[in-house]
Amino acid sequence: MRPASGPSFHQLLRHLAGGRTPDPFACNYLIEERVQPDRQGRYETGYAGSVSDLDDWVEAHKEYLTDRIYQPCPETFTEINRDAAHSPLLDTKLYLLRIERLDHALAILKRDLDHIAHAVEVFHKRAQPRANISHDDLYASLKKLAQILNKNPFSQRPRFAALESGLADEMEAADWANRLRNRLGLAHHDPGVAGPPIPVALMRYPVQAVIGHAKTIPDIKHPITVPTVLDHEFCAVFCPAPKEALYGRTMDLEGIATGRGFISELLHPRIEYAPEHIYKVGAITDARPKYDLQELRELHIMSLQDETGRHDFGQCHQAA
Amino acid sequence: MTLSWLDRFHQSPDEALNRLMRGTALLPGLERATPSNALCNLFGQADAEDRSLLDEALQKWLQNRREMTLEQRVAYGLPRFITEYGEGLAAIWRLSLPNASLWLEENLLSLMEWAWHMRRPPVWDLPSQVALAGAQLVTNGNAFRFFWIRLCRDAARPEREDLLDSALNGLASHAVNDKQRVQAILKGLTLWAEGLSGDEDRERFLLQWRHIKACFPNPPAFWRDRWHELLTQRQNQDAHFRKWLVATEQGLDNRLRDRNTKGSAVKLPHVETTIKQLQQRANVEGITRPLVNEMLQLLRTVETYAEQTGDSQFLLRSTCGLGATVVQAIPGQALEWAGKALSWQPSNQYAWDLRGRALYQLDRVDLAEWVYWEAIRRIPEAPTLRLQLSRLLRERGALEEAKRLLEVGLKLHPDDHPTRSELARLLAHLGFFTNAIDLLRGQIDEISLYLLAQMLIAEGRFPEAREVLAEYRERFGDHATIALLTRLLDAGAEGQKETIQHFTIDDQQNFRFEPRGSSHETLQERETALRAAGHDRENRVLDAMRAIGEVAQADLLFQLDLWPEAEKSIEKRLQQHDDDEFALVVGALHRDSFRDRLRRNADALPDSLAVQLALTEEKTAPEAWETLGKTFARQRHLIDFARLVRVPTGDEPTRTRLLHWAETHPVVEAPLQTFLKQRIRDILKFTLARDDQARLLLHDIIKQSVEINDTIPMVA
Repeated sequence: MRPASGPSFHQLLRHLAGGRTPDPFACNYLIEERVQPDRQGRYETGYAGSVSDLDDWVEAHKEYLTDRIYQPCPETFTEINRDAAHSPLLDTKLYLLRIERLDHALAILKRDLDHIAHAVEVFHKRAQPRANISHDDLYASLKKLAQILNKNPFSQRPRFAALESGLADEMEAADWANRLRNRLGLAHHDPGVAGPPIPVALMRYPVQAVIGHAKTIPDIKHPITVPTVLDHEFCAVFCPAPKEALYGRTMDLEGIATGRGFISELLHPRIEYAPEHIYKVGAITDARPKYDLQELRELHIMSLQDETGRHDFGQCHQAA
Repeated sequence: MTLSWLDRFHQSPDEALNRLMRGTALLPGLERATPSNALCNLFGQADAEDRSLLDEALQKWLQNRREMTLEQRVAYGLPRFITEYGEGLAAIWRLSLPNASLWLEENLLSLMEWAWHMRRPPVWDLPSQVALAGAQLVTNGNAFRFFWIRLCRDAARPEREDLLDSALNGLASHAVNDKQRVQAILKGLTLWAEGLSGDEDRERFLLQWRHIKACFPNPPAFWRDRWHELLTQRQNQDAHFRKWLVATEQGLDNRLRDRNTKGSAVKLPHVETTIKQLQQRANVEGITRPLVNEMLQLLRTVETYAEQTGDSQFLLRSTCGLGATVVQAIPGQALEWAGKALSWQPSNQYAWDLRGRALYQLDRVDLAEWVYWEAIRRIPEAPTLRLQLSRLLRERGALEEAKRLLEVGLKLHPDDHPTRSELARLLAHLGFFTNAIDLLRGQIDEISLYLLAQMLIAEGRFPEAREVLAEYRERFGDHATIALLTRLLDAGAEGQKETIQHFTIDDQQNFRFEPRGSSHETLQERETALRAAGHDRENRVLDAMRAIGEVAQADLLFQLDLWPEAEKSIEKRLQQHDDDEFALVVGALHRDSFRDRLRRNADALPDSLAVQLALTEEKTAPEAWETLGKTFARQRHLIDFARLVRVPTGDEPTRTRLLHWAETHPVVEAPLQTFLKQRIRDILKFTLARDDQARLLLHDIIKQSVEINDTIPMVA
């Protein structure tokens, strides 16, 4: 997007994007192609237009997110974001995946990961219940876990989800949690070199669950969208996708040199998790891969260019 | 850039932390991390110096946020405020920050009080975050046991169920092994389940119960024995959850029929008999050390029984009964017993009365008054408490206030003889003998007849006085006190003069709330220590008590049309704490200006029944009433009652529904519910819905609905 208002905001973007190490947030803003003018206008006029430095912009962006995005019906899924809407022809039987942290839930339940893991394995018929526990008892634990996840205050915002296809190997690997963290670009789930493992759940649910829930909120017009820069907090390992791409693309933290191909990502509104959506539980044990952010982003953009044939995409110097 | 944030943190920890908590700090790689996750990542492996900086900064941040006014919080955005504060609390226990942990433990009760209404379904719930932090951090499990018990009970309401897990974990925190943990958790579950109302709660109960079984795998016989211990308790024998358990747990029904107790239940003596014997001995011997030791022995037994079974009836009876016996001699001891009783049953009228009396004996007369104000607010069904407060007010010369209090008391409890006779005495003291006589006419209890005779003498109505005296003799016999009345009657005008003087001058000069006592010398050392501990505990809730007392008094002043003083009092309180729900509600009940203020802030208190009821009025639309009825489905009867009082034309479906509620009695019913049903039946059947009694009752119900929890000093 070219900034449409506020010379100070324009100047800021130019300054941030024009250096030897372009600021990723400014770049993302400048190369974003799916935000409509009216949405952009509302963002800049109401929030970012008069910012003059990065700190100011971060504050303004947070205000915008609080007012417009962290709401029961985020702007993301309304008419004002129609250009980012995903095709309504998306197969509702496809499955979406998300990683949810379990630190909080385990503290509330005062249980360890093993207990929940066992419940999940029994539910999905991958194990038998241990002595003196019934299926009903374990299901109750899963139901409570789902209830706790549904009470997460950070859930009231657009949710990133990946399409399951292309992730079969990762999902079934013994260290699936580490591998999915890397492929889905979840850099913030980082135990560090010596930190404790991060307990996580792999959530798996059909597109139908999203569509069904969205029908209960009248203002939601487009329940599945491609992520844009205005739908979430600034994130350096996020990059918008060209408008020709059907989906967003996660940034593989191990880089594209692995040759594994892109994983498609989408945004959808909050849904109420059910026990059957908890597919696996485990822990992220490895520190996130070391990467050079600029290089990671440049190679990611090059791959997007190749995928879509848009060799002009992602040139934030020019966009500024 | 991570270095950049850490650099900022080293330079200016408060500012840097504030940005991080608000989600406006730039933390490369951690942009999507929640604040507590980011802090864990940054400080989980940090050196002691950095952790110490964070410890101090976080505590300060939490304290500063706590000082934001209600209006500031609303302007900031409550969901955002709740999210960020919750993250701050989480960071304390996830990172085990020692100073912040201590601060949290010391402030746990007041934090919960402050956070109580900060909820926005479906996902924002600060009380749950406070409870979780407390359960993670509190080290002195016993001292907070009663806090967890209270939360277990609160969690029975569906909208508060998120408190349950933390409450159960808190109760189990002192356990040293799984067996103790299970026992504590089951007891907590039982306390919670006692508040479940009907078949619609069955699935809620079974979900929690099955999860517990999954967490602590044990053979079925183990669970049957645990439930046998709990379900054979008196208060659980007709509980809803008993039948749900029996239906789903094979063999439990048979086990419950088996009288063989495999548990280690305490053997109780005949508690009532023992109490009476101790009281009789106290009358004869005085309050001696050996006698007090025996009392303590009984209390230890009934307390152990209560801890093992969850049944506190004997503990309450003992502490309150024996406390009343010793309060004039050893008020410090009585105060401790009152505290213990209140910890188990926060709305026990005898315990509140004992607390008030003990404080009076300890010369904390102001505090005693505030205690009675809160007791009346909390337990409007107990006429004794209002009577006691009126006596305190009378002792300090606040006669008009005492009179109004008794008048209201009599309207709400028209059959209460002590209230009637006390009001009659006060009216007589003020020279309104005719009014006092009218009040006592038709009463046939001993005190009323005696007083009536006296007042007729004061009025010079000697033939009538003789008739009343004759009736007294017939009912209650001839004894020494009658001789006095006979002498006064026979003295004619002189007797009349003497009687008038008795009521108008002597009565006030000699009037005391109750006599002051003194303790036996062998008990003085112990009593001194208990008094010090009691003062210490009470001082911790002093501010809360004072606030309630002042607002409650303002309520009375409004009723006496002394509104400038009343307004000033409410305004002063709101200037200090603009989110004081009680002050907001009381103000709104009397003045439009306060009502407008409450309306502006009602959004921040959406689940407060008291606020919603205080804002209802004659022109409240029918749809609004229906919405309230759905929002507060469990208190539908209160909404219906308010509607009938407010709306002059009445509403037949509402009336019918309310009458049905008032005529239905579950097996176990709280005293307040019984009282409300009786009064509402009377109002619906015999009087118009808008009359004085109905308005006063609604007023009391609204005040009683304000959720105030930190007025009871914790006794370990």
